[in-house]
Amino acid sequence: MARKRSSQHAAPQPTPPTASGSAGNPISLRGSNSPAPAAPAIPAPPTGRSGLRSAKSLGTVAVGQPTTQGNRVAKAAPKKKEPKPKPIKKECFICATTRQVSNCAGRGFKAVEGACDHFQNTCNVCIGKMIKEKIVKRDLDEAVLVCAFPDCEHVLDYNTIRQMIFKGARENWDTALLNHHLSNSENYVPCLNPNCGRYFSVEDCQAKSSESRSKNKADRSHPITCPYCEEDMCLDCMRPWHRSTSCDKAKIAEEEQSLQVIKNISKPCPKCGANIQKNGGCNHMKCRHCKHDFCFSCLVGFGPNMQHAEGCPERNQNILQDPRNWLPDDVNIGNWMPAMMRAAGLPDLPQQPGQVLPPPIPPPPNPVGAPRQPEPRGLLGLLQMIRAFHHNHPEVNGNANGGQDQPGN
Amino acid sequence: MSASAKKRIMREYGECMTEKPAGMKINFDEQNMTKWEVLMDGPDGSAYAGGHFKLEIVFPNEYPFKPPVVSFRTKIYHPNVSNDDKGSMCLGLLRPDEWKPPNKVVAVLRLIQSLMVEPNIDDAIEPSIGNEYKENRKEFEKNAKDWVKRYAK
Repeated sequence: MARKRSSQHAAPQPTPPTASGSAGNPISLRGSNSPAPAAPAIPAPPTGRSGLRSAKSLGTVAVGQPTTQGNRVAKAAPKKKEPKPKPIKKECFICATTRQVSNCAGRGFKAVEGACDHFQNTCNVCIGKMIKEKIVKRDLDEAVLVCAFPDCEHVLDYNTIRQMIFKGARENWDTALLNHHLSNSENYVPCLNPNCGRYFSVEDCQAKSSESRSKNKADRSHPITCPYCEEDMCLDCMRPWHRSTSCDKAKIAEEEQSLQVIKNISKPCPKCGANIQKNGGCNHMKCRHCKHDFCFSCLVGFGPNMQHAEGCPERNQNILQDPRNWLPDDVNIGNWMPAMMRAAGLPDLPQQPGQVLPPPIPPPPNPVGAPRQPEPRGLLGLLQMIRAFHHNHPEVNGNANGGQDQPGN
Repeated sequence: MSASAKKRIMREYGECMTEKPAGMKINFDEQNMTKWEVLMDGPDGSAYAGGHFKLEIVFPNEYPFKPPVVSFRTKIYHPNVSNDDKGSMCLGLLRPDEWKPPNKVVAVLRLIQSLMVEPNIDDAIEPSIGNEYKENRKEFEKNAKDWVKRYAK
């Protein structure tokens, strides 16, 4: 039973998997239309009066019939078959779109009794988008939504949110929540096949496995098979099934592979060593693990006296001494060159600027480690040429530009 | 960009017009409403007084669920503005993990104004300027004013 359960389970059990899986009854996260756990009866719509009152007090648009009529019609309409009353509309605090107040999921507002004004005036579409953000941020410990308005801590509970958002969003959220919680459970394991990934119970298998392990130490590895896609895995080390190799060897091989990949795509936090991958944004990185701030390029920590390491593209030349920031106001072709050279703290050139000026001079080799330099243009380009000249003519370079120039050459 | 995001941006522009935050002008292009150009005066009493700064506010497609992106188009000597061709800012409510959908651009503009009066040294993107602000305020003000004269007039 512990081995290859799949043959018994896969075919003859078409029972639609539910969210409450148990031993031998695997959980499917795909296509599970499982209803909310004991979804309560849909709360009665707030009486027209209170609904309108709150809308009025907020100064939002409440287009439609006068209070009394709206109230009466809401109750009596089905019987009398009067022409449908104009639905109550209001504007969403978040997306500023005017939508209908209705009592179901969809593009309107779901009236939620007892919710704060902010949630009363947040449309279902925006609620759905907030849930989507929670999934993206893996903020899944609590299946609730806390009001984001300042000084309001109203909480929408799981069932209420489920009644507001669209079916697709609902399913995504349930899947994410379930995965998140099952990943903390010992009795469920996810299939390792990247195209499957569904969780199934291994409660029985584990009992069997530890039994046999105590009986016979040599017999170490135990294959289990995913009941959905028949992927074989090793129960003892939770890796793809490794046949004759021992778990230890399989582990070492996998670790090596993983370390290589991690090494290729990440850098360790200089403080806590957690490997960090950058997927966007500027180089100012904050370690999620130890909250350390550092430059992702040169790994120097951010702080009041911080200076980026040499060769780091973030290493601005000392801002105060970067001549680009100090171009004289009265630039004219006669005096700009010496003025700039002085501002840069460089010795005067042995030649006249006029000799450097003719355009056909090929652009200087870009110093290594200066990928962020803008394309040389105008005065800036000329300045870079001068700096390159100093690189290439160390005899006139002196030490004046010691720490400021890009390293290289 | 979804229609509701556009509506929200329109609404916020309307609010900016009625509230008229002091000391700034917003250039709004209906053809491309996701990119605002803001002309902000240096607040009186700050080192930036007398300067006029051009800012760009870009709204992401997911706005207001993701924060707008702010960058200074005019060079400014400030610890919280990167001293490069981007002039970017990334602190406080502009950080993706701190942004909340109810936040409004007006709040962002106010944040920028208050940062021009008092920079946030603890979250400096240009630590050397931040340090100068802390250790040698006179020098900082001199430099900041000098840059205003050079770039922000």
